Amino acid sequence: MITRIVKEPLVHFLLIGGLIFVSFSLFDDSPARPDAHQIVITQAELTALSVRFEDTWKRAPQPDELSAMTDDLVRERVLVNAALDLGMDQGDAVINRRLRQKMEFFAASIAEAIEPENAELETFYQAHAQDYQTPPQFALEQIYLGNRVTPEVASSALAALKTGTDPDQLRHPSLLPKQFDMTPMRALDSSFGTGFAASLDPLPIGEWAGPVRSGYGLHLVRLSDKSPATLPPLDQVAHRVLPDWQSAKRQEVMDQYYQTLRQGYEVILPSPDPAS
Amino acid sequence: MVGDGQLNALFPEGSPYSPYADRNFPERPLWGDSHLHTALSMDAGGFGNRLGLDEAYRFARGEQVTASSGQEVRLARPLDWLAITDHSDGLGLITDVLDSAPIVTQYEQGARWAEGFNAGGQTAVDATIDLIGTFSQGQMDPEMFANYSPGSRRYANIWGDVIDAAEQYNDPGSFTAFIGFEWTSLVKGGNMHRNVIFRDNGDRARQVVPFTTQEPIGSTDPLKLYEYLEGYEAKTNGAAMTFAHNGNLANGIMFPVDAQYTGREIDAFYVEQRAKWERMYEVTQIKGDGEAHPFLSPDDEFADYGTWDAGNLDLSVAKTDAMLAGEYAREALKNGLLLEERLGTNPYKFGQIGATDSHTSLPAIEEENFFGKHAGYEPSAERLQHAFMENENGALYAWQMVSSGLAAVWAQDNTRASLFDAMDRKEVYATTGPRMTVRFFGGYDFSDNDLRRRDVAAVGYSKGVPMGGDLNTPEDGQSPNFLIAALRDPIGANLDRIQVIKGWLDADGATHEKVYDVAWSDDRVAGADGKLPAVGSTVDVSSATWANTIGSAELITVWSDPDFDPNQRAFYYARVLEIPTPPWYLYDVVKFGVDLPEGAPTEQQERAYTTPIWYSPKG
Repeated sequence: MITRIVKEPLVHFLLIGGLIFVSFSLFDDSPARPDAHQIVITQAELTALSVRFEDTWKRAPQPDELSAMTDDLVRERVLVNAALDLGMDQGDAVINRRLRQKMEFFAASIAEAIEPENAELETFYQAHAQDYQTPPQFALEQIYLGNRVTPEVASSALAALKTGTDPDQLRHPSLLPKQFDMTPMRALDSSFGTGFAASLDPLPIGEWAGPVRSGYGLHLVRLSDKSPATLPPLDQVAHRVLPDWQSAKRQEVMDQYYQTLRQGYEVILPSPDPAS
Repeated sequence: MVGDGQLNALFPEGSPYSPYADRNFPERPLWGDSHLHTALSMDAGGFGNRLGLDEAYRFARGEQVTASSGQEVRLARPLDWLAITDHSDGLGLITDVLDSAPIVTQYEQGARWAEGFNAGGQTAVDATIDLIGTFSQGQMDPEMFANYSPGSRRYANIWGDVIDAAEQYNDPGSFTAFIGFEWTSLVKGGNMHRNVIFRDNGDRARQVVPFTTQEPIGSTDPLKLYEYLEGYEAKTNGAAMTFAHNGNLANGIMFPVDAQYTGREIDAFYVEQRAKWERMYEVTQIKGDGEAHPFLSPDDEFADYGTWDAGNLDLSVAKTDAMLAGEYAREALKNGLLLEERLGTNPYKFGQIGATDSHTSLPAIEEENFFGKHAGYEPSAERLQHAFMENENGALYAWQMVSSGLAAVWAQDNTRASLFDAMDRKEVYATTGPRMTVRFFGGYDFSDNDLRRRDVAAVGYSKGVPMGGDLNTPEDGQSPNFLIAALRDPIGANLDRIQVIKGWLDADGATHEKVYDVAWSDDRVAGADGKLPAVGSTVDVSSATWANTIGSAELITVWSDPDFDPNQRAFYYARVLEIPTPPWYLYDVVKFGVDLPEGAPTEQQERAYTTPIWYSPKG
């Protein structure tokens, strides 16, 4: 059991994520909580200002320009500090949304760093096989009998066919193609109406059978070939499976990360109002 | 004993023995929507669409998704292909505002809207109106907007996301995802919008970003859009095309005859460029049907379908009758003949398709499954009570949204290249939603014998040209004839009739049109006035149902033009009408138990419009 947990990369990442979280609060070497009335600008921040300036203007800032930018940064810090003191961040939907997003991006970035082991991808692939399999295909000939024929008439038409009657003598004129080469279910349903292809599945190969109902009426059908739903080898569809796995993984990590954090809080909801 | 001559007729020399070998024509039409918006479009996101590219593709290929209004929704049948065409101007701005991303909230406007959207309720609605108003008055903070315009890294990244999603969902053989965008040219409220789609994959499309309307990089002039397309093809060796929509909201400037809206004369250059790049036209969609207008076609009893003629796109200028000729497809087809006579090229020789232009990420335009123009009109008991647009110039009510349309493409394969090539040769048709199969071939040698075997495609392609084609020059005394067949939607309503619409140019340079009934159901006989009686109706208003006890599952005919003059330019297209069925809002009335809006009809006849086949005299 323990080995299973230790081998699970997700656990590693959550542990690492948890450690980062802890280390932020314990080992943060910036001044722990700066004096409320002290604004400290570091050399690194000034360098960042210069770099951003260069990105835009393709040259280093002049001393007076750097000084103006520094003044502006100070102004921002003063206003932000004062705003925080006044509690202006409280209940601000935009700020809440940004903080929430930052936490979610953090969890997502953990997930994106995970490479699936082959076995894990294979397991995911098998579990979601229905999303990747090639749909069943059928090759067939069909005789349209019309929309007002009774099943009895259809049965006697089928009997006649089996004793060698020319299909064209039984055929009700129709624009529907008489023959289909190997065609996916979806395309058959597009021509005949939803559900038609599924009703072909039990029919024998090489024999006239039916009647089968379409959106137009009744048909006799002779399958010449069919292929069941097949699951291609993983490497052929890995380009589709991998993004799906990643997106499932991201959701999983985000949920687990949330649950981990959630355990650290007691949530108090208002008790139901007895009057209502 | 069969004589040699008969044998040769049965087995023409050079033809393979197998009737199925060498059969390389398209077997079934591929259904799709060339015009869909996701939350990335400023107006779509602003009006509450929260569904992105993934949801749009998953929905189109048949999966169930949760709509922005929280309702589960699914198509009755998947689409075969889709082009997501988000507005290129401000692409992705709204999603960043909704995310309160610093790249927008660092600006006063962006922060204001982010706050408004996050507050929800009426405040969010006000923020939307503020945002759209600010954009349409050109009052956007230019620095903020620059991030959502060509030339910025953010814009290129968003375009990259659009391409990535198309690449991910494009599945050759079963579902095609086109890379594309909408160029949203609006001239004094006159709709000049056009969609652009690429034939190519992401490797080529990534070499450009979309064309916009904002100067100096963009422009509202279609001639500049053509330059962009020319530039794309030169740079990448790829191929692209464009197609316009909603001429009905252009207040006369969509299909100019004498001068462009800029005042520039319509000359040989304009008509050549337009013919080269504008390969199709979206003739029907939610914001109205633009095939024909009763003022322009007073003798056509079916011309008044889904008519939106109150004014321009934002209803800032009311419509006048004089504007209509520059707005409707049939009139454009006629004026195209005139311009070809005058300038040598027909600029209005377009394929006719339908599209949704839905802003909900959901191309849900089945009558019983209509999710509205934008997220504010997803199904609810209240949606019929609203005016869609209303001011001193007029009003359009919610029930007037048309639950339309789709494009059918006669392509051999379901791939970007095969579909694009079929669109390029205009082998396409429009429907208002139902998936009826329509074959339309023109030639000189069709006979009633060709109807018996129902081998319409084999005969049609061997003896004539399909929709989008040009008739050959006739021999003396020959009149063109047409092999026309229609099969109803396998899960839809029966057919009332097939009509052929002919337009022509006379020796005096005047254009004309005539509608012929060519095939119809129920053995009806035309009256003394030559008019075919109506097919009747089975619509039950109280339950919003109908029955296929009238009409015909298929109609097929060979029709010859009785009035052919080999010296006159002409076009012919087919219109196929279904029997009457309930419009989408009647399902609302039944499902929600609300009142039928005043003036709203309780039945309609859905239809298909093929692309024409054209005739030009030799020399």
